[in-house]
Amino acid sequence: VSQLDWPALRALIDTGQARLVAAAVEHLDERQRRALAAQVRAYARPLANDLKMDWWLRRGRIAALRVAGAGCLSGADAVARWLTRQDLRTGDEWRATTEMLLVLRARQVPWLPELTRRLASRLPSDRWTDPQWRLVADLATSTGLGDLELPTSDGFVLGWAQSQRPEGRLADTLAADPFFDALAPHLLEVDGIGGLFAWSASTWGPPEASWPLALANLAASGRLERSRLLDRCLGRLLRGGPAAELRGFLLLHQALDSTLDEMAARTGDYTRLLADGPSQVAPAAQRALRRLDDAGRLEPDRLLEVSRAVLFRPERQLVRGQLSWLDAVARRQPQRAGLVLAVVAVAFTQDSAELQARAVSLVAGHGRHADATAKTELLDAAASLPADLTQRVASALGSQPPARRPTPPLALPAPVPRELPAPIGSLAELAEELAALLEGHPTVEPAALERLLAALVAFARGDRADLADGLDPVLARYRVHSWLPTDPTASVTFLNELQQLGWAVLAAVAPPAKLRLLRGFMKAVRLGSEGRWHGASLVAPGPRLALLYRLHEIAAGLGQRSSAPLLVATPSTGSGHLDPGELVARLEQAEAAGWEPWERDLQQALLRLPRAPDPAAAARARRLATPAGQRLFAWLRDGGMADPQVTRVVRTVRGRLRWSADGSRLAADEVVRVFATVTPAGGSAKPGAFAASLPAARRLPPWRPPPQAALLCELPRPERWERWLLGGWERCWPALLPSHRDAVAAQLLPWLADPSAGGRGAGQVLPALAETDGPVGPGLSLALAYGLGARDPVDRAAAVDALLVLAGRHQLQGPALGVELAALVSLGRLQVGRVVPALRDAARAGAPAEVWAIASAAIPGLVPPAAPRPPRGVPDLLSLAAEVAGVTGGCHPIPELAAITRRGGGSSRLRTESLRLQQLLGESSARA
Amino acid sequence: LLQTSGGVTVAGPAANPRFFTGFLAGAEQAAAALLAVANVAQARYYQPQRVGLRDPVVTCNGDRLRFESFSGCGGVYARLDVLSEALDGEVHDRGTTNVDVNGPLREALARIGGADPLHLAVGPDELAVTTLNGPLVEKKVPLPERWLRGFAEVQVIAAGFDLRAELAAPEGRRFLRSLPRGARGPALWAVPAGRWLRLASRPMPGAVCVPGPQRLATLEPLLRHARALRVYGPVVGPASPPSASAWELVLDGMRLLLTLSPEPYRGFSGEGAVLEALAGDDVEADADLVGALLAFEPRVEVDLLAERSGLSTAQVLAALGQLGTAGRVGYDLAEAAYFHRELPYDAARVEAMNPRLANARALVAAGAVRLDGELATVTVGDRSHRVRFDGDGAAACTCSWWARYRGGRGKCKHVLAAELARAGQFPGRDDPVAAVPAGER
Repeated sequence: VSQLDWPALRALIDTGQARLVAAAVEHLDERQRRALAAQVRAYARPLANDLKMDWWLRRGRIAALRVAGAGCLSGADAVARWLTRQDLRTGDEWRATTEMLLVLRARQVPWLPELTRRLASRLPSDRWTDPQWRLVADLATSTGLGDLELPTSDGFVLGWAQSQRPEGRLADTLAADPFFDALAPHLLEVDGIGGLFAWSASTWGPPEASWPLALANLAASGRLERSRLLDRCLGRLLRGGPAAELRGFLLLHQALDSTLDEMAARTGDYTRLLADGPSQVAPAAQRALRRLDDAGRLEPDRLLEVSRAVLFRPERQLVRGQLSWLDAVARRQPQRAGLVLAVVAVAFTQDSAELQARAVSLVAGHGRHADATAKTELLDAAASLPADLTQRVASALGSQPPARRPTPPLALPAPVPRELPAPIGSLAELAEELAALLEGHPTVEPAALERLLAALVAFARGDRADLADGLDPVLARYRVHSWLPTDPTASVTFLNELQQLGWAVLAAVAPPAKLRLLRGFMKAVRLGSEGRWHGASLVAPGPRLALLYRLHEIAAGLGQRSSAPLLVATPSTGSGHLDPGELVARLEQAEAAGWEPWERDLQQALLRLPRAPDPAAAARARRLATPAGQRLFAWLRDGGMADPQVTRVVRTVRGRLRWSADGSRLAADEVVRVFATVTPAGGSAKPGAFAASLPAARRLPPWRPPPQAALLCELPRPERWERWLLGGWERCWPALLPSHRDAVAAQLLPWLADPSAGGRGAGQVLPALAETDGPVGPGLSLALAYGLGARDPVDRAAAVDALLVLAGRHQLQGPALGVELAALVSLGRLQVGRVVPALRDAARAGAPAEVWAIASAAIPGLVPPAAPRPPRGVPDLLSLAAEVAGVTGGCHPIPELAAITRRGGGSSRLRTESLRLQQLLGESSARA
Repeated sequence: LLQTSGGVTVAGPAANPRFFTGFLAGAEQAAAALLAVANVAQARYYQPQRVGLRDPVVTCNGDRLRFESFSGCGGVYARLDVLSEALDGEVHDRGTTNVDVNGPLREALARIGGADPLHLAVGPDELAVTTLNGPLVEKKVPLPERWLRGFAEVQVIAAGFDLRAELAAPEGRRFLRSLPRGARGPALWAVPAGRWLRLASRPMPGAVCVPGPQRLATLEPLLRHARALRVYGPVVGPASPPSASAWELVLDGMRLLLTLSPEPYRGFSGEGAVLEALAGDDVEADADLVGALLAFEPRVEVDLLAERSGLSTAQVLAALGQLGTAGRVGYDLAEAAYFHRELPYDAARVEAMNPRLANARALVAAGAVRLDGELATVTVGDRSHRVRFDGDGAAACTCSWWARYRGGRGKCKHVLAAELARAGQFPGRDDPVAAVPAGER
């Protein structure tokens, strides 16, 4: 018997070589092992915690230590726990399996079978670690466990399946596997096995390595019981689970290719799968049952029962298949048609107009066979269909259409003006609001921003030491002080709203040294000198520039230690407008206290005045003596700023760079963009004028950025429309120009139009835009059109919100919107399939007349002759038009529809729907 | 059919108790509804990954059975109420336990169709009901702690809900099927419009938040059995943050309710709605009294309890709120009433289960709170936070928790600490005992 004390063993462990440890531990007797156990155990913690050790060395030592533990600890439980310790996991802790097995077998202890079972029960069932499974398998083999004693835990079975690496056919490998007979019965019980099946049968593996095929082969050769396999396969499909898992069992089901007899014996399972099974499984069940029915082996009641459930399902394909199946049954056995028709009534509740129409034609085809019960059921269900379809059902059954429940027309919700919260009352509240804004970035609400700015400027007039003290906890937490480079010659590499707000706060609270630094940077920004300024930041859309310069002016103003004025541009309504009387009062206060408002702040205040003239305020403004007061008076007298000119533009531009089809070169594809440019009234400035003037700014030091009104008209060139140019504060834009919303809408268009340029989220500005004022021109119409067809559901909902607000204020230009929708769909910029549900939502919420105006204006542009090949989804638009025309009444006919039916072009559904709509409109105009 | 694993009955804790044996009417929909509850327990809507099987909790209230579960992420609470019309069998006892819905049982439930009967035995017949001696609540049911906290939170939150819309089956089905399936993006809102619900991008009066609409997909298999869809939510205004909401499918003799947390990443266990009740009033004695009077009623009658306990109605409501923080009562929105259930809950562990409260007490004990009129400064490490009280006792803080949720996810520890300290300073106002750290009482 060899001798080994702890220092010697530890030295061996520290070499990191499990082989040496195994050789030393192998020959110990049990007494010696027990003597070492405590020290081995105690060494685990320091080793596990020593993360500074060389990575490879630590892994090696841990592996060696695990072998030592396997050799020294006593009892199955202790060793099993030791080998699965969490803190000794290194990623390859199972690499010394051979040594471990050697050491364990040399011990010749009676608890090895028990250890095997315990280790097997601890095998992970969600991830796969081959060496760990290998150890358990080798232990099981070497302890001579019989088939009945083999562990059957999920982890062991899954590990077994995953460890199969067939040289040739998987079926042969499996048939020869010693564990096969013991483990195969449990194979289809394990979670995760379906994923393995699917993976093995994927296209990149050879077909002979596919588990589904191998199992089917083994069943064919009699090694597996075929009926049991089929039962378990269906059982797992019934149990449901992740998609990948189900795919594996579906493949197995396909490979087994059940015979009619086998299917007939499992009709119940197939029925349940078709009625309530997962979407991907139900089609297979439908095929199986239909085969049975075609062979005359499906009980009629079973068909009716399952049809009732299927016709409720949301998958259109399944419902279509079931309807055509029922049609075939009714054709084949007219005596069953009555029962079949009663079931078809269920399909009337489907939301899709196409499915409704199919169900109705089925009834029309077989209506004469309907018995009394079926008739009642059909007529009851038909009451929820559109009126003309109800009529068709009734005439097919030879009875009167049921009385329709009159639904009272829903009034449009009256727009409720949003209220502004009270101004910030205390320093602590200012600190909270600042924290909320810093935390909640980038969804900044305009009201919160303006409230914060007003309070910041107001408190900065008081004791700035108090202000610094009050804001300090928040500024420290968000490290706002570090937003300023410490090197005065450093260049400012980015410019954004949050940073400018941070500078404004710093300007109010910074100590003198920091303030000098800040002033230097602010001067660089004001001059627009590109050397210290990231020029690209200044090609942002106009409202963003205007917001940035406003924030910048506040920062610069607070940085001047002379007593700063108060802000005069803070809005007084939720839409961003400023009451003229309120502005006069503020200027009166300024005059009395002897301060002049900041220039850009005053400009912003004027831009926020409402469109309606206010003679009383103008009279008061006339009495103001200050220059600011005189400018306000002139503004009020002249009726404010003339509307900027918004022009619709269609332009083909270079899109993204893509690899050509053969992968040989990069080329930009051409994209048709529909957008709008903004020109100041009377001005002839081209878009991008500001950006173009920037290089000049570098040479001409006294260059001044243009006034707010000019900035607000800026639109970057189409090549520069990148996601990041939007900046994330676009919710604040409507309140910058609340009386000229079309201009703001025009500047959102690039980002609304192109999801890849960050279209997500821009749509959420639309409701706020709808609440502001100004004519509705091409900017807003295009913005709404893009919003209604947005990819993002929240954006679409926002567009519906905006549409309802406009409709409620009687400002919606329905026909113009319809024409834009048709144009964008024809250019491939929008999908009808997204627009129709959004419009239907708006119609149901009380705007059917407006939706009719939109749809009837859009239809001519989407059908021949304007569109020789009508885009996808146009029949749905026609059926929506029929829906709203039925509600509103008095709708004018659309002449292009007659052409469709005459020419016979387009899909049959297009013809049906256009005929339907034509008939409805004919009746409607006849009534009118 | 359903295996129980120990629970609490009227007589006390029992191993494998048996509450009910009999048939459920409408077997197909009952099976689908049970599967829906089990599916929620298995699902994880935030950062999806495979989760272990969790067992729904079942309560027998005499005339009805309630099956409850939480999703793995804690953000969805599901409850199936099987009412007396759907129960055809024998009620042996009233009480709470949990049932094991494993793979084979799921298959069995999925196989139940049309005319097949569904026999439900909550507890296997061969096991005798044995009553154990000892304290009333014992950790018999291996419930995750998150579930216990979730039960407590969800009833406080639900008690603030009202019915916002009731849709007939076809409209309800169309609405649920029109919901987007994607998991990203800000919350949507459902606005009642006539007999429809419309999706909106922003809150408005009468609207209900639809946070993480993909989480309602669990209802899909039940839509063909549904009679109506009821939607519940708190009062919202134009500036409301996303809020929790409840969606109830009315079935024949059953109701299936899903309550969604305000955002998919927020589990109910961390919503902090119980903190107020725990930190504030001295209702513990009342709660003990009221708790002793509860006997698994399906509908707790407040007036009756007030009469029996000799307390005022307001005191009983406060006591019920306190019991709710222990998960001992739930809130039934359809009945607008509390119901009794019993969970393995240890009063002494309340502190551990609500770390914010424990931290607040520790702050007070460490003297980290400095009161200054309507302001308080709470110093944590090298950071300090200002807590501001406005006239009507509401408080706000400058910490990042408050900045992010504005009080919508329970008070932060700083506000709790400041309130405890103020209560200690003005003993007449609040409970003075609460200001002393729990360990020193």
